[in-house]
Order: sequence, then C-alpha cells, then structure tokens
Amino acid sequence: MNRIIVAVIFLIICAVFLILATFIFYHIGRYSLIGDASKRSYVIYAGSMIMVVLIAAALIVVNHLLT
Amino acid sequence: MFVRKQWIGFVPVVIIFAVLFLAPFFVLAIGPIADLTMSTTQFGRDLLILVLLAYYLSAITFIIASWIAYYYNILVVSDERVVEISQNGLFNRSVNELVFEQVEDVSSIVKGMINTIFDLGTLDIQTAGPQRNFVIKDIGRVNDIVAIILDLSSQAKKGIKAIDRMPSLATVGIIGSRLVAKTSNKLPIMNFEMHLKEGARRHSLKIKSPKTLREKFDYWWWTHCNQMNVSFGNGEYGDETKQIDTSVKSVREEDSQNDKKGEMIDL
Repeated sequence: MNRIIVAVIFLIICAVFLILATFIFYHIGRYSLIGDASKRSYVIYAGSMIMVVLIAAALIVVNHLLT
Repeated sequence: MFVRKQWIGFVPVVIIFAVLFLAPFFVLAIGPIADLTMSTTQFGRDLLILVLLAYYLSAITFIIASWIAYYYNILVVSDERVVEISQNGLFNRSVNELVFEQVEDVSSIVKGMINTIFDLGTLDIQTAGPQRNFVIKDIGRVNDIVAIILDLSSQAKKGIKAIDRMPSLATVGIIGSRLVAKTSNKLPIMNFEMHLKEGARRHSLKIKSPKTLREKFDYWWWTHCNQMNVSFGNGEYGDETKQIDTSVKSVREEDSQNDKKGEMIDL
C-alpha cells in the first residue's frame, strides 16, 4: 500500500511540473525570437528537471532494495 | 537600438537559487533532523525523497521563471518609436509603444554606488497626452539612451521623416549593452522599421521558420505588430505585400548576402 502511495505522489509531482514545463516551453517558443539564449536555457531547465526526477526515482528504488 | 536589463539585475536571483539549492544539505546535516531521517521507516524516507524532489523542481522552476522575467524585458528604439516590452513573471506581459512625436521629456536617474559602477539607471520618458509615462528600471547605458531618444525626438518634432532620422551623436545605437558607433557597419538598426516591411513581406511569402537572426527579428516584430494592430506609413502590411513581387529564394539570398556583409545584428 505504501509503495502505491509513494508511486502516486511521485507521479503527481512529475505531472504538475510537466505541465509547468510545457507552459514555459510554449511561452519561450512564442516570445523567444530574438536570439537563441532562451531556448538554450530551456534545454538546461528541462535537463536539470529530468536529472532531479531520475535521481529521486533511483533513491526510492535503492531505499526499497536496501530494506 | 535594442536594450535588455543589465545582467547585474539577475545576480540576486542566482544568489537566492544557490541558497535554495544548498539549504537542504545544511538542514539534513543538523543533528536531530539527521537522526530522525536515519531512524525513520522506509515509507518516511520515501516521503522525504518526494519532498526533496518537489522542492528542487520548484527551485529550478523559480530560477527559469525569474530568468524569463529578466530576459524578456526589452527596450527597442527605432527611428520611429520607442517600444517597451515588459514581462513580470510568467503570466504578466505588456507591450507599450510611443512615437517620438509624443515624447515630452526624457530623464535618467542613476542612484547608488553599484548603479554608478555598472552604469545602471532608471529611464523615465514623459509623454504628451493621456498615454502613461515610460519608466524602465535597471537599464544599462542609460545616459546614452536618453541622449539618443532626445535627439530622435527633436528630429521628429522638426518634421524630419523617420527614414531620414539618425542621431547626430557619436553613439547612434546600443545593442544589448554595447554602443554602436557612427562608423559601425551595424547602422541599419536605426532604420529597422524599413526592414519591418520586408519582414511582413517574408512572412506573407510563407516563411514559417525564420532561420537567420534578421528573419527571426522580423518575424518577432511582425508578430508583435500584428498583435498590436500597428500599421506602417501609408498602408497596412497587406498593401505593402501586394506591391512586391519577389520570390522566397531571392529574399533568402538577400539575407545571406547581408549576413556576409556583416550587417547582421548580434542581438
């Protein structure tokens, strides 16, 4: 049961931030026609988000394997 | 002239982000909390990981949202008008325009040591009529900007046509925080309204994916003017585009030639 709760919370957090990231992507796509720095920064933003999500997922899995 | 806020204005956000990033390490290292996290159940540790996940995602989103609010504040000064694009957060954006004929007075305020060192200031443009004043904070090279706007405004009031207007100063433009000297090959920036019609032409020729920086700028400006319902000269874009019979290919060739000449503006 606890595992399901953890998985659901994990997915909810990911979904909320995915929606936010999509909105920012839309925003940058619409207004970033001067120079390319905004697109590059979006790639950094999305990349760091994915990294954080993967680290969290890995920690949860490791936590379950160790106990 | 194309000006963004100075980078120094973004430094406090970076410092806040650094503090937010490091804070959990210090909090979790504190004795009682560290003991609590070590002795808790598997579910408790999972929840802690989830809280940290949400926290770091929020911190990353905070910095990108702050960066957007900083990066999308733009001041454009052409030979016809001043355009202020103001972005406050993700959901608040405004675009204001002011033609030079309506400029009453322009002033700059540089306050404090940091502002003096980094050449930062507040630009205040007083307008004639009911239009609200333009106040732009933390902008670089503010004295040069004031001089250029005053010069162009006085030329406009003398009845000089936009296309013939050019600042009589040694500095005729600013791109980012760099000055553009009169002898520079980047002079077309002051006459870019002329290029805007070309931008409309390109757009009308269905160039949907602008490639060069010139195209990107034109496309951006076209979008902006379209939203604002701005017309140029005697006719709307439609009239302008009907008179021109040029193929997409030739427009692209013209662009690449301009790039080679060094007329492209590094925005």
